Amino acid sequence: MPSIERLKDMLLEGTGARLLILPALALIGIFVVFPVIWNIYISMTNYALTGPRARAYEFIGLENYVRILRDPSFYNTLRVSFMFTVFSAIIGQAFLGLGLALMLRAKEPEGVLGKITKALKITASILVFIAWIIPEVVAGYAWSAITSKGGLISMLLGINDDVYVRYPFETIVVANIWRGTAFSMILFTAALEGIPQYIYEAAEIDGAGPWYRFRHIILPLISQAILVDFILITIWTYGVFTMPFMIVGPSGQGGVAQIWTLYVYYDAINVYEVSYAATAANIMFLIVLAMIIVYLRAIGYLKKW
Amino acid sequence: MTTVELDHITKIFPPKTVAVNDISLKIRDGEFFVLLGPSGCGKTTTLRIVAGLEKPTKGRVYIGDRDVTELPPRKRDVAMVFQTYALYPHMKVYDNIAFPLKVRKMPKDEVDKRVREIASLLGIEELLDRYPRQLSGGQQQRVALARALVRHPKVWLMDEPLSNLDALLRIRMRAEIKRIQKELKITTIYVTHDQVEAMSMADRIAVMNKGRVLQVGSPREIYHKPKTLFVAGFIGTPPMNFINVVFGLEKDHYVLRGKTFKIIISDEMGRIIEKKLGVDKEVVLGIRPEHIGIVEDRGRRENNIVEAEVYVVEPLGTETIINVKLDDTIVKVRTIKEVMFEPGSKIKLYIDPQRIYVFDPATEKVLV
Amino acid sequence: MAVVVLRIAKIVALWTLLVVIALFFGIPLVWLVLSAFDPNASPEFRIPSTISLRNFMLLAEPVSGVPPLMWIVNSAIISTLVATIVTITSILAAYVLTRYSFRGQGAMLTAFIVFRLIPPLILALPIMILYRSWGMMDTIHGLVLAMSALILPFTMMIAESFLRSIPVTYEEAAMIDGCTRLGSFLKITLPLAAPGIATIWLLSFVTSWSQFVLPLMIIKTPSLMPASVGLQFFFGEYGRVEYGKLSAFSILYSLPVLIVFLTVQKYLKRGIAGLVSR
Ligand SMILES: Nc1ncnc2c1ncn2[C@@H]1O[C@H](COP(=O)(O)OP(=O)(O)OP(=O)(O)O)[C@@H](O)[C@H]1O
Ligand SMILES: [Mg+2]
Repeated sequence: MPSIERLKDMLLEGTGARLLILPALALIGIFVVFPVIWNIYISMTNYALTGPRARAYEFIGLENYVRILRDPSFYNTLRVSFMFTVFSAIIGQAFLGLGLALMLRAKEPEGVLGKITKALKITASILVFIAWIIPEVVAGYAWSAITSKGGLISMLLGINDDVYVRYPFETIVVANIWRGTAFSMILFTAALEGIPQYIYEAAEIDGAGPWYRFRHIILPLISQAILVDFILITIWTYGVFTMPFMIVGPSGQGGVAQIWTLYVYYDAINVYEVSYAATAANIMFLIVLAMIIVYLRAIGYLKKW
Repeated sequence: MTTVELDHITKIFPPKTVAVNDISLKIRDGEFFVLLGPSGCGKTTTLRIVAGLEKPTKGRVYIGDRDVTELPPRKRDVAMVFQTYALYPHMKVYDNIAFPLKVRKMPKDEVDKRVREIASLLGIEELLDRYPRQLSGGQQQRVALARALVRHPKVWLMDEPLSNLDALLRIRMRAEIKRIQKELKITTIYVTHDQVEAMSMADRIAVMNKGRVLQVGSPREIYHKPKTLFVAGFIGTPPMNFINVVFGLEKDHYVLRGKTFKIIISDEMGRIIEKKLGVDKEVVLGIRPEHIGIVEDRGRRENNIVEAEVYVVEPLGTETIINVKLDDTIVKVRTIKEVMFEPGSKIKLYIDPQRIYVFDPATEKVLV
Repeated sequence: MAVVVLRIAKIVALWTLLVVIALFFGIPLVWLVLSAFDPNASPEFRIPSTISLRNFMLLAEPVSGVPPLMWIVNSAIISTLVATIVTITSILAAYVLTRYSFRGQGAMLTAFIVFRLIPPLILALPIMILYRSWGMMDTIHGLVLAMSALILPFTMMIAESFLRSIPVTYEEAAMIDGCTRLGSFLKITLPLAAPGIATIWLLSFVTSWSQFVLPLMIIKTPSLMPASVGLQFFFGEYGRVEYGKLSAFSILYSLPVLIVFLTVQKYLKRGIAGLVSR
């Protein structure tokens, strides 16, 4: 039976064993790559969620793209998404995360004072961490509740109204900072731990003050981490859906806080214009792709171009 | 009948590292065959090709009369001691040694008997219950050795299996391996870069450099009849001395002329060199440190006595190595006499023209 | 004297900062816990006058015909399936990626990074469209498959780096000792990778457990919903929000995640540091 023997060898020894990658490729192919392509096709049809256009839809070419580029609500969502990302990711999460990482690393004084400092540090970082890991829907629900009328935030602001209705954009920005800061904190903590202690000591002996040490020693050493952090949280924040969806709903309180993910959902599910939503999603996906390419370059993939 | 044959084996690691370059070897049944060469010369790669862990880029491998080039390792019936030991970290020493037997479905009590036998032979019985990470490097190495020796395959492959042992243990293990091998007559390929190990254990040695086999022969042959400058320089402690000289014809005898000395060689030798190379050519004179004599009597003058300046003296107990400066070369002289020389003093040396080698500097091949 | 004052001022400033941060991050969480035990919970931030487990008990009673606890059970089933599928497929794929070399390998790894960073909504929308024509809307298997594919690029990178860190020599030794190539992987490398495999399983379990967008688009029938969508459905169901029950549900729903992250905490930081360079 040489042929059966050969077959067994092939499966167990090499050539055939490579086929074990197939289940993964199949899953990715069918449920990731194909849908992305299908989305492009759908955006060129007039497919709708219900009605006759759900069953018999037609190819309409680039009509949706032409339409969307003339649609003021699309420019509104572009603007909101951009502002949301800048405020929430870069200005909020990254800086807060870096500040937290530096604070956590600062030397503690001896004795009781040190113990209290340490306890405070641990409490703060655990809370930051929990905010990050609990399911996003739960986070969205909690923020929706405390920014409701009668909640703590409305009391503090002294308004007798839902905060997320009065300040929808600000609410989702702050809520998302709350949600995502842990990632930057952990990343920067890891980066700071990578700096050997003797470098700090050498700088101190050389008489460098705290600001000088930060600016000329720490910052250059963690610049790679900062770059990567900026890119990643930008990508993630840009793609956020669940929390804003829970807090301000798909319409984003009349568009004020309608980031693009809400816009896509709203068009597809609330207005039934699926192909139009797909068009928006594709344009937004191009933007994400550009950011991903920047990321790949930053971490050393894609050396050329 | 287990011979191992490598037929024009070449291994190229992409993109273009030539690790093994057109090697052909025939290893005889029951032979203890040593691959000897400096670091990075392709010894491990050659061994891995025999084991089936690496496919040769070109060439065929035969074990017995069977072409095994395409066969997976498990069908080649070889055992191997890895240079890096490769002990399974999650198994105790006992299970590590028993593993190859268990895979082959040997009965349990038989496995147990064999494991304990080999463990006591290698002095690791007390370690059987430990994990590899709890062992010293030398202990790990002996476990790796045990895992290979516990089986009686067609071929044993050993990649520097003693490199991490202390001098005493190493000498004991050499004898032990050699004894087991002779007893079971298992064809063995043994890799080392330690030439003493090679000389003392091998039936035959293949000296390798830069992916090529330079010479194959018994330890005596390799020592006494090196074919190239490299082999000559690699074997012997300390290695052979090389001095650049000019081969010439003076009056009625052939000479090797250095800047400050002259050696008269036999007509027979001279004629061979003249035939191969011609006269007044640059050649390399090779002489082993133990073949240089120290002339104590200052008065006499004789042929083939050269004068050199003492540079450093290394007393090693039973022998002394004297480094002297001859022309611009440091020449090592080995003597068992108790001698003392001041650095800087002059010394007279006798070079026995019967024991010299002459190499062609261009081809690095031996002339005589 | 002045030095001491300065030092104390510094410490107090640090404390103040830390307290402010702890409050900012703690308030929503504390409110969640307080209201879960408050039978008369409302958005108001207050210590409950009576502490009771009533909210938790009520979760066994149906909301629109489905008891909320059932959503947790659904999530458990879905996430177990997803985690198991994802762990097996990503270990197999990582085995091929680390133990063999073939053309396009680098491109494949790069592609996985790209897939991992695609916002889920980008995929959820076309998957919904496709499922409508494939008849896979509102099915658990549809959700499980799509969710597995969504998580796979992430777990695969972890599996890849894990297997890469285990030297191939062990497998080579086993092959010489008489195992097949695949057998040596199963007998030697897999047991060595056990902690990594457990980590992958747990991480994919909680990722699936928390996922929201995909089930939101695919599952419409309340009795099939996982906890994430159930919570949102529950939240939007009535005019009057039942804060107590929602908070109690949120806490039950969050517990597994907290437990898992506590167990894989050490690995997490390493993983995040690994994002900085290849
Ligand atoms: N997997 C590999 N990929 C690329 N190059 C390799 C690989 N394995 C070995 N080489 C190269 O092949 C050459 C021979 O290596 P090999 O391991 O056979 O040397 P060696 O004689 O065993 O040396 P040592 O005494 O140091 O163990 C070296 O230049 C090495 O860098
Ligand atoms: Mg080697």
